[in-house]
Amino acid sequence: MTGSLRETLARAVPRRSPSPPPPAAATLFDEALLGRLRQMSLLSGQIRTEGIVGEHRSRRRGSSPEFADFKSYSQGDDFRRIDWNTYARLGGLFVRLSEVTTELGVHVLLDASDSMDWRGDPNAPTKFDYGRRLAGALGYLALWHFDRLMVTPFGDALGHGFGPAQGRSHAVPMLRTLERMAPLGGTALVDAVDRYLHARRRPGVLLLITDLLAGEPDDLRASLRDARARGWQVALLHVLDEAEVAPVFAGAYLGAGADQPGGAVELIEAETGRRLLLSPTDGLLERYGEAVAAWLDGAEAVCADEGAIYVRLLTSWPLDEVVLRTLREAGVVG
Amino acid sequence: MSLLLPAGLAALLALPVIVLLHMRHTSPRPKPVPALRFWLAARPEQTQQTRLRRPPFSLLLLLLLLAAAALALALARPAVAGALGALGIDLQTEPRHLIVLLDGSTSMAAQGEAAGRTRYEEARADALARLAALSDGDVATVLLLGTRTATLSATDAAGFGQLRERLAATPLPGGRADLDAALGLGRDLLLPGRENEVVVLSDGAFAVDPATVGALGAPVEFRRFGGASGDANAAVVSVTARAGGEGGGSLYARLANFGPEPLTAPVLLLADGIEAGRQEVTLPAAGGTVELAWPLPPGASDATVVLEVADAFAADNRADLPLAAGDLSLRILLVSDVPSPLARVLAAIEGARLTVEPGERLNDPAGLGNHDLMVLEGVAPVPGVLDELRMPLLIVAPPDGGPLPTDGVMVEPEIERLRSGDPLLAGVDLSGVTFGESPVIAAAAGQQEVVGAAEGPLVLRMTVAGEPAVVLAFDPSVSNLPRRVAFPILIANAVAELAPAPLPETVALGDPLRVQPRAGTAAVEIAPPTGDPVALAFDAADESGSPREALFAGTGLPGSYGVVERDGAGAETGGGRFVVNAGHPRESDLRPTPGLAETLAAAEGSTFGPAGGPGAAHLWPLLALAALALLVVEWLVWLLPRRRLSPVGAASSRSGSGSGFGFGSIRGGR
Repeated sequence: MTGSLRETLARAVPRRSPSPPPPAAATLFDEALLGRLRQMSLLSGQIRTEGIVGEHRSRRRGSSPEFADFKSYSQGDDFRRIDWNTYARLGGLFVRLSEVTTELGVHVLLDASDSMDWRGDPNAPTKFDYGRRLAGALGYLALWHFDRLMVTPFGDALGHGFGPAQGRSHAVPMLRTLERMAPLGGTALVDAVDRYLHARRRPGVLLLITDLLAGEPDDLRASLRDARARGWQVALLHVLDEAEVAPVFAGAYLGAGADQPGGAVELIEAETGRRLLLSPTDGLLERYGEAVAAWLDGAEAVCADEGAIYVRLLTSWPLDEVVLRTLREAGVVG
Repeated sequence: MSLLLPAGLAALLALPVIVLLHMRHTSPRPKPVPALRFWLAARPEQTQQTRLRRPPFSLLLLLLLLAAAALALALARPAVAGALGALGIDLQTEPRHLIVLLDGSTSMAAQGEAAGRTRYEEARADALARLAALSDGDVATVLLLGTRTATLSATDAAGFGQLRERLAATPLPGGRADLDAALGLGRDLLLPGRENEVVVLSDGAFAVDPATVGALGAPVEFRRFGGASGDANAAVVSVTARAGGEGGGSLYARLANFGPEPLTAPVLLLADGIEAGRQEVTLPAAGGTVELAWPLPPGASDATVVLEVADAFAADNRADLPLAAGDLSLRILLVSDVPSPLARVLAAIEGARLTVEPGERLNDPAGLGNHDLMVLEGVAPVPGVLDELRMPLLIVAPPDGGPLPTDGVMVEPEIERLRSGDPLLAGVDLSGVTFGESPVIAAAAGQQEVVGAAEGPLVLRMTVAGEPAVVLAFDPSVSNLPRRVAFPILIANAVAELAPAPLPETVALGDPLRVQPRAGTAAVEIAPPTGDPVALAFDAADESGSPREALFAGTGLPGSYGVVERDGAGAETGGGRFVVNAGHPRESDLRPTPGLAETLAAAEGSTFGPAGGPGAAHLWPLLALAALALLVVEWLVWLLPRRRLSPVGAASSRSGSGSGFGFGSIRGGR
């Protein structure tokens, strides 16, 4: 999903339960969500699929039972594929063409930095939890459709993840791997993306789940351009918390509404531990909102320029409804 | 509007304190955030490390300041005069206790604002109006200030009516008012649990101690009643006479002018109502006095001094003086065979009538018993006479063989002992006095030596025949004491100790009269110029010999007072009169005391303005309610954004309408 911050925040979402979230292992996935995921598939777009195991339709024609088209027989064609019924009716030799299904390489890069391990509302999941659930959903989707899946966390460097794996039998191990994942500390987003892409010979779909709180959006421009040149389809799934993008929620999180600019707060940056003393005021929150909006617009513009799909997701949105619908609208799943 | 407790305004100091508290950086609350970059970009340029910051003026702070200001004003207990009552708003929340200090001093008899009405009548009408405004549950106390303070009170509607009727019928008590004493009494009368109000209705011509006002503990409203013609007044403030041999003596008068301008007016002397003298006098302004002296015509029994001037207070423009005091003067019997300086001294005592009898007269004492004091000079009564006459004795130079046993003589006695502080010796200087040959009085029980020589007493007091006696053991004719001023003083002291004080011719306005009845008197009736006589009862003389006396304080009305003495059977034994003149150095000065209003205003919670009074409405309940309302609004203003900002509330709003978060800059959406 793309669009302005206002549109993002204004998206209608169902009411979230005020009760605190249960343990992550129990809530990452449930059968209802998995059932909905089985009805979807990842869209490969212009990605060149390979192999013969997957379920993605290919331009290659082969001998599978899936009929695709007829063509006139020419020398060299397998005469076993001549459709004799057609010859009986029309008197010409036609070869029956079949559709070949291929597999898709799905690469999930999950930002596991400390900045992801944060939430502005104790009743909401952290961005990292939300990212793990999102990665699990998309990974399950890939495995269900026999795509080749790799899930890799990254912080300062690439971490140990899951895969490559293919086949539905790997769904549970994949989910358990996600459940065991822990934040890795700092963030080196561009470096992680570059290292990952250069380590892969065959392009695929790169699902980058991150909060982008590492450097400027422009820093990612070269990596996205390189990925596109190398045949990758990149979808940047930007995970955000309301309290970090909306001034009113930010003010509420800091404990000072716009009409009560009294209390000083000391902000502590999650990854670096840096501190900043300030007093939230109307003006400060307004300027904060403007800075965030500019940053989001920049990220969206970079993705648009480099042909990457940009989807902005708030952790307050339920995964099973809003997110999957949003991903479908954005063309990530179909 | 007036403030009953101006000190409450000190609570306004809370306003800058609140602002300072809002300017102070509180201890920062640590808050982890995913990144500082946006906060750094949004942070203003100024440093956040200062201890104080710019006042963060906001709606919350404004509401808080307004609430604090309203509370501070409520503490000051503002009141307005009936303005809210006219709107039908009754803010009187506590039962009232109205204490009216009504000035009934003589000066209140001066001309008031309205023609034909005195200041007292106008002040009394004001008091009646205030009493009429009271309702059930209130308490009213009226202190009528005169020489004596009368207290009237009522606690219910019927009592208020009776109190008004009684007060309306009460004439001016007159005399000199003591506002300090009245305020002290008012302080004792304050009732807990009620809204005490003290109202002073006066012409303001008296002083008050700020300490008394400060200790009162209730607000004081002072309303002054002046005259339409101002406060200029002239008076005859003092008059007295001195007898002068065969002639009528002399009369002395002191006149004073309390007006702002010098006054020239004729002054008349009337002797028994006939003009005996007239002269034009010019009285200096602002309290200036002039003393006049006239010869009195022989045989006059009354003298009157009249200042012919029209001013605010006519009653003090004349002063009467009775020249014949009646039969209540001090009757002294001198028994002496040799005329001596002692007779002249006794005759000079004020108010005394001296009778001189030879020593042999004591052989037949019939007719001598109606005296107040017997002086025996060198004579010795036959035994039993003193028991028959029974009157105090002054024994001078007692002869040998008299009632006092002697034990030889002192040839040249010199003073060796002297009773210090004895009233007989008050003002008496005995240095250098020689006494000549004197008998030695034998010691006896009950003797008290006042002055003594080596051989025996020279002056002593004792009891003779059951009556008090003072003995001068020396013979004045051989002593140099009669040639000294100490002698008449010593004799006067002895007479004052032994005999009752004579009735004075005049008594200053408001001054209490000390009445000492003669022996055998059981009661004294004093008839004031108006009203019923006042009876003063006396017990029989006790063994100590101390004089019996009573105080008559009802001297507030100018005029002639009749005095009648009665014995135990009620029979009249004597009579006389004295005069109280309206002219008085203080009461004739109608000018208000400078600073009186300010002093009274310093009382706690004082004071209502001229429009204040019983109808005043108290605003503090309204202000307290306003402060409470402001605090509630401030709380709502503080709370509402937080409820809207809370994540749960936000999710609710989104799920309900699908129209976004509904706030400020991010309002909108699909």
